[in-house]
Amino acid sequence: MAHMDQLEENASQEAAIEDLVADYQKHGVSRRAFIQRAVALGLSLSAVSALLAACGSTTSSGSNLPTNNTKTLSLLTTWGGEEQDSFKAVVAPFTQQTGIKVDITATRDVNAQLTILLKGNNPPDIAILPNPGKMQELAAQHHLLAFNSFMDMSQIRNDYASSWIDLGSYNGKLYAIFFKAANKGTVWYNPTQFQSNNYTIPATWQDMITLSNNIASSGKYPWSMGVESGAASGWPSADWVAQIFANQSANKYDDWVAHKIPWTDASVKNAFQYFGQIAHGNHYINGAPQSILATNFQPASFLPFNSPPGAYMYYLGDFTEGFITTQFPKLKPETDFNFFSFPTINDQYKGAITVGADVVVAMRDGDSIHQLVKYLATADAQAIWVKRGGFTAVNKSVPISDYPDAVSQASVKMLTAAPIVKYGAGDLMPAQVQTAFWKGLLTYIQDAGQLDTVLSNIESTAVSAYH
Amino acid sequence: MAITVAREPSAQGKRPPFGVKTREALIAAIWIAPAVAFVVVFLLYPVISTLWTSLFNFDSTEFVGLANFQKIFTSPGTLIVLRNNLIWLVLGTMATVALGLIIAVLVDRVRIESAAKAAIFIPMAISFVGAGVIWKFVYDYNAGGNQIGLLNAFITRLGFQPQAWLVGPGNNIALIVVYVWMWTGFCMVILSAALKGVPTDILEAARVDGAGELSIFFRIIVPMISPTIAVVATTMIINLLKIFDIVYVMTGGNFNTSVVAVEFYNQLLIFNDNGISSALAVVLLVAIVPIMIYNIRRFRIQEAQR
Repeated sequence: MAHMDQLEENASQEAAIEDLVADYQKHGVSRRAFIQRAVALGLSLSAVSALLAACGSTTSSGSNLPTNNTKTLSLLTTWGGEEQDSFKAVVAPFTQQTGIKVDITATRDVNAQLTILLKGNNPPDIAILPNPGKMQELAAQHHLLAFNSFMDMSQIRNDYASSWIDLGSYNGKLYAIFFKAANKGTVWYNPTQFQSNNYTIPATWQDMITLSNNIASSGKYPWSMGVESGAASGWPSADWVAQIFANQSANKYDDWVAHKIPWTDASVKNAFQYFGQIAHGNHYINGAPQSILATNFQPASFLPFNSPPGAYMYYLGDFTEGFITTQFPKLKPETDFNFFSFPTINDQYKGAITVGADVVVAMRDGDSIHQLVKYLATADAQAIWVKRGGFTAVNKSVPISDYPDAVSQASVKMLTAAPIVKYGAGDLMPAQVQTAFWKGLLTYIQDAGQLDTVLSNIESTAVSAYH
Repeated sequence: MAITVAREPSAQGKRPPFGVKTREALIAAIWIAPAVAFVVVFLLYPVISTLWTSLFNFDSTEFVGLANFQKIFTSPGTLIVLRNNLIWLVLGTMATVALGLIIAVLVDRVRIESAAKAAIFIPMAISFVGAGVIWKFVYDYNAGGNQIGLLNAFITRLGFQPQAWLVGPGNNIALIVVYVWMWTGFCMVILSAALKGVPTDILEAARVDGAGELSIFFRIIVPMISPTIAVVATTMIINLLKIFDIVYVMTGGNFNTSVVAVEFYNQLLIFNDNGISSALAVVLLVAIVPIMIYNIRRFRIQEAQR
């Protein structure tokens, strides 16, 4: 008897779900309402999300995105100046072959700009985002074009490491091509100075501290640091902390990013404190802490290469090479400037690096857009920028010999050989948390005693931000 | 009368569909309709929509009551933002109006009046963003080596240590200085025009009676131009409540310098939080309304005096 009831109930539940699905597809019930109703019908959350994904694939087979079938594409990016020139050089042969023009708009505030364009229902055709966190968010909101239907996926799997494909995927579909990568496990130094002072390249964190103390005790400043970057001030220090965390407790890294451990966890505090050893080090940084906060990250990278040098080491991603070579065009790679790999903190995670990358996403549908995305994903296209310098390709098929000098080649080799690769933590977090992370570090740099307050503040932001 | 007479022939034989009173009301309504529609579409609707949104959560799907306001008035971050706005409001208004008045009185007595006024007024022609960039250079700080920042170059020449003006305590003042630099000229020009309207015979009579220049200033000039001072001050207050560009360009709201408009921008466009951003807009609105009412009242009194 109970069994019969069960069957009947199942049948009515099935009918109700069918109604619900029809509502969702035809009448545009919101996702939230859909989930609430489905849960009320007794479905588990995972079943609901599977159902949603299935509904999504039937409705968006033609894709609900606005289309652009013209031969002029709009592209939104953060690249200005030299980077934009290089990108234009990448696009030029494409325009020549296909007759498709690409209008580039550069903005420092790509997130704000995208919000405005989306609210006005006028997204760009293509956007190049500096953070996959934003890409995931947009994919979840159905603002992105899935690439699977028109791209040669076996070629993609051949050219890109699976971890990159996973990062660019949402619910099993590819929404983003990783384009310009950065190896953020690099500490920059002046080899000539190191040689003449008999400094050796530190292999472990302890070696690095010993070296720093040694330099400091001779009345010089071992480190240069600058975290000023307008509204995004603080991000270079967030890169520091993420890199330290990856070397310290790589096993917890993903939990930290996903907020499965709180910011007040000992592992997070420990990473901040290691960063503090440098930022608050006695006679480590000239004018600290004010100078760290007031100096832009770009000019800060110049100090080790001035004569006489204003510092001996500078930590930031491999794109720093571009700053150095632009400021000091006469310096020779490997002899006048070079990097060493971030020192080992925990032997278990030796060689762990953090990376960053700009991702290409499409926000409209159309043949020209398909063609441009396909083109940008190719090794040939990326090699154009690689040869111009300042570009680390994610595409494995770009030959290492295409990189302009030994330093950039070494960085790529390090990136591909690294045993543990973690994506820069801040860029994967919700924007509020990332900003709180940056601002918290600004406070911590200014006042080491504030660490616990800083961490609990970030934690309270995180609690409300991970929806 | 003339109208009814003129319309008489066409209306002959028929009764007009409405009485004269209703017709007049109808015509008035038609005339006023575009203005009302404009206000409703571009003012009333956004205000109501913002009020409504401020009662909902980040993606406007869940009613949360006054929780957004509670967050604004309890979280230490936004309290600092509100405090900063207050500092801007008080110091910015006082400095621009006082300096504008003093300069207006002083240049009134020199021969190069127009040249001096032009020099002080020129920064008005620069955009907020432009001024922010210029002053970022003025405040530039370099821990070691040459100071390219004007201010630090100056004080190191005098033998002092260079300062990171935009980072340390007092950075809010450093930002307000930029605003004062830009807007003193505006206050000066308007107040100067008002000064010219003070009849010279009153001033001369006072001087004949033996009043000193200071008491003439405080007892005659200031009371006589007080309506203008009020106009200038309220303009400054409204301007300062909305301040955004200088802060955004120069510090990005970091180092405890954020103001409501910057916070609003971040919440709406970076964090995509409709609730908090609308609530911040409502806070600004509520702060501005009394000043608007005061302004309108004073305007009415003035109109009545004419």
